[in-house]
Order: sequence, then structure tokens, then C-alpha cells
Amino acid sequence: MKIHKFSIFCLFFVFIGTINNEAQCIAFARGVAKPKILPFVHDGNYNATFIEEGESAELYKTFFEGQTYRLVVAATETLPKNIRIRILNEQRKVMFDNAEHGYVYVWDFEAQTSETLIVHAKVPEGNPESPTIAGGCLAIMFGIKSDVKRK
Amino acid sequence: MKKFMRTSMFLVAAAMLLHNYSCTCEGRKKQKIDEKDIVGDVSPNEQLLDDFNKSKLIFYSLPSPLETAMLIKQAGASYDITLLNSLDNVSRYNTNLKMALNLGIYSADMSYTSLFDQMQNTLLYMGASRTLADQLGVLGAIDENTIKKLEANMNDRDVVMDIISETFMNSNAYLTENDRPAIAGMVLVGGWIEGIYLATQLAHNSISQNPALIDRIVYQKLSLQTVLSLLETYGDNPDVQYLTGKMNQLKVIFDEIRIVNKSKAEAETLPEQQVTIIRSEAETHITQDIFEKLANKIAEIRNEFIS
Repeated sequence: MKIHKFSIFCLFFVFIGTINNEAQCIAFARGVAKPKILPFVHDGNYNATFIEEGESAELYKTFFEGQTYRLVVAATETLPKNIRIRILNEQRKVMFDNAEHGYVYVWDFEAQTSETLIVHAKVPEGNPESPTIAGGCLAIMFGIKSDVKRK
Repeated sequence: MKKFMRTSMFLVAAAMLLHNYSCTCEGRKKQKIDEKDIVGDVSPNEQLLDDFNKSKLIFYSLPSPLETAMLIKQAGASYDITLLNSLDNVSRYNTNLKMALNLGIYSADMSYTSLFDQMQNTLLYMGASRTLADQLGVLGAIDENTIKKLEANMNDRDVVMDIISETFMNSNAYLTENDRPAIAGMVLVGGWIEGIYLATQLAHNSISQNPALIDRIVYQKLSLQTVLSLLETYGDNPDVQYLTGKMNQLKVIFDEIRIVNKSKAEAETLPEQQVTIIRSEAETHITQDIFEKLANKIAEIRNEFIS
């Protein structure tokens, strides 16, 4: 009977832990990623997820001619450093690779054409000797340069 | 002991199930990309190809109501309050589908009013959005403090835009993280359709009066593909199937509009400014007849959403 109670207790914490993994991402996106968008205006879209080492995420977004966008990628400290961010067009031609710029996580894009681009973020593989797999939140957010004038 | 083993195995299985579930929700999906889909007019290197072939998480990011309102404003369009969804309609919406769609629609209307400095209307549309968010069970996305903050900063458009983007993100995040990503998707689709509805109506049935605005509308053809991909993620949901049907009706007309790339996309990176310029040449082809068909279809779908 004690074992049964113990099992329910463990299951409860596994469940809460899983919920927290997800729930932490909005707090992380709002508190850590969003401020890095300034002075651009956050577009309001929420793109954050729990991710593990070795995994990758893709984001499809149409860039509109005349707009300047700020891309912010943010990851919790539990994830390995040097997340590789590449921007590709639909033919998978690489337009930007942060590996060529010191793995920077904030970059601006001036669209002189309208085109759907893909943000590809790859979390490095972890240590194969390690018995655990590192995971954490990854947020990919966009800001728009606000130059709309008052009437 | 056997019982303990069975319980432990159950725990491990439950943990794996929960973990897998947590990683497949939100506006994304794990999927394998077929190699044939990624071979274009350039040859990506093998490492990149390998990365794409691996299991991944996918986000489909639609132009948000705020971005669409900015595009409309920058194209030189005017303000027309008669185009907005009436605030009186808010009490009509009593299904998840209608509440979600109209949360997106009111968010788009709110963004439009704020960009044109119609702050009293912005407040009213924030109120309508709050009503629908509450009815959808989205806790805390828009609360009394949000309204007070909006009232206190009505003359500071940057703060107003920040409040609007924050509330939109909160709703989206809450639904996504509480295992209702399909509903979150419906909010996004509602916002997108209202944005394109406003743009087409503000073009006043003419493709020559405001070419910049027409250009914005034409390039929503690209966004429509993202809309369809997003909806496909939740294809088992009957409400999503209904929306997919509507979006495919739009696609039939958008397919008549041609966007011809005249040159390959080029990127120029300026490391010191931390900016990359993306450029290519393209021509768009739309006739007055096709535009009218498009505007009418968008109005038909949008009016069905707000009914």
C-alpha cells in the first residue's frame, strides 16, 4: 500500500514537472526573450517550446517588403551554448548563418522583397557520455521596426 | 516486489507519454521532411540536409494583427470604422470556434484602431477581446490591470502597441500551453482574415487606386500557404477542417494571382550593423476581375465568421 501511495506521489510530480516544462516557456519568452526585441515592437506571436539537445526547430514566416524585422532567439541556460541559427529561403538557400557571426542570437533583417523565410535553430548535441539529456525552453520571436507616423 | 516493478514500469511509461505529449503540442509538429521537398535551385550542404531530415519542431508564424495593421497603415490606407466587427456582436459568440475566430478578429480591429490613434475605440475593442478571452477560459491574458495600463498610456502609441502585442501573446501562449493549440490556431486565423478583409475593403474595389496596398494583399498569397500548413497540423479537429475548407476556397482565387521571381534571392550582411538585407526581383500579376473575386470571397468568409 505504501508503494502504491509512493507511485501516485511520483506520478504526480512527473506530471507537474512536465506541465512546468511547458508553463516555464511563456514566462521565459516574456521575461527574457521579449525585452531583447526593443526598441522594435514585438509582433505578438508566441513561438516557444521545450526542446532537448540535438533537436532542431523551424519557423516559417513571410517577410514583407519594406519592413525591418528583429529576430531574437533565446534559450534557457540548461541548454547547450552556441545554438546555430540559419535563415533560409524556400529553396533552402542559406541567407544568414549565425555561426559566421559568433553565434549571435539577435539579428535584424531588412526585407527588400516579400518572401517566406525559414528560421532553423539547431541545439548542439550534448555529451554522449552524459547519462542525462539536457532540455530547456527555446523562444524564437520577431519584432517589427515601428516607423508608422502619427497623423 | 513484482507490484513495485509493475508500478515503476507504469511510471516510466506515463512519464514518456507525458513527455512526448508535451513536445508535440503548440503550433508545431514533429515531422520528417522528404528529401525531394528540400531540393531547390541551390544545393544545400550535406550537414544542412542532414539537419533538415532529422526530427524537428515546426512553428508557423502568421502575420500578427499588429503587423498587418502596420502594413495597412504604411501602404497609405485610411481609417474606416464602419469596416470593424460591431462590438454588439460579442454576445453572439458561444462556441469555441466563434469565440476564437472573433478574439482574433477583435484583436485585429483593436490593432487597426490603435495604429490610427483611435484610442477610445482601442479601449472598447480591448474590452471585447477580454470578454472573449475570458469565455475561452484564457486566464489573465487581459485583466483589469491591462485595461488600466491602456487607459493610462492612451497617448503613447508605442506603449499601446506593446500592450496589444502582450495580450495577443498571452492568449496564444495560454491556449498553446494548456493543450488547446488548435484553438490558438483559430485565433490566429481570425486575426489574419480580418487583416486581409480590412486591406481589401480599404482598396475600394480598385487595383489602381493604391498599388502599395494591392501589393500587400497579393503577397498574402504566401501567408495563406502558412495558414494552410498551420491548419494541417490540427487536421483531425472538425472546426479546423471547416476552416481549411474556407481557406482552400481562398487559395483557388489566390492561385490565379501570379508572383514571378525575376531573380534569385540574395542576402547582403552588414556585420557591424548586425543586419542582413534580403532582396530579389519579382513581378506580380493581378487583374481587376480577380481582385474583385478575391475581395468578395474574403468578405463572404469574414462575414460568416462574425455572424
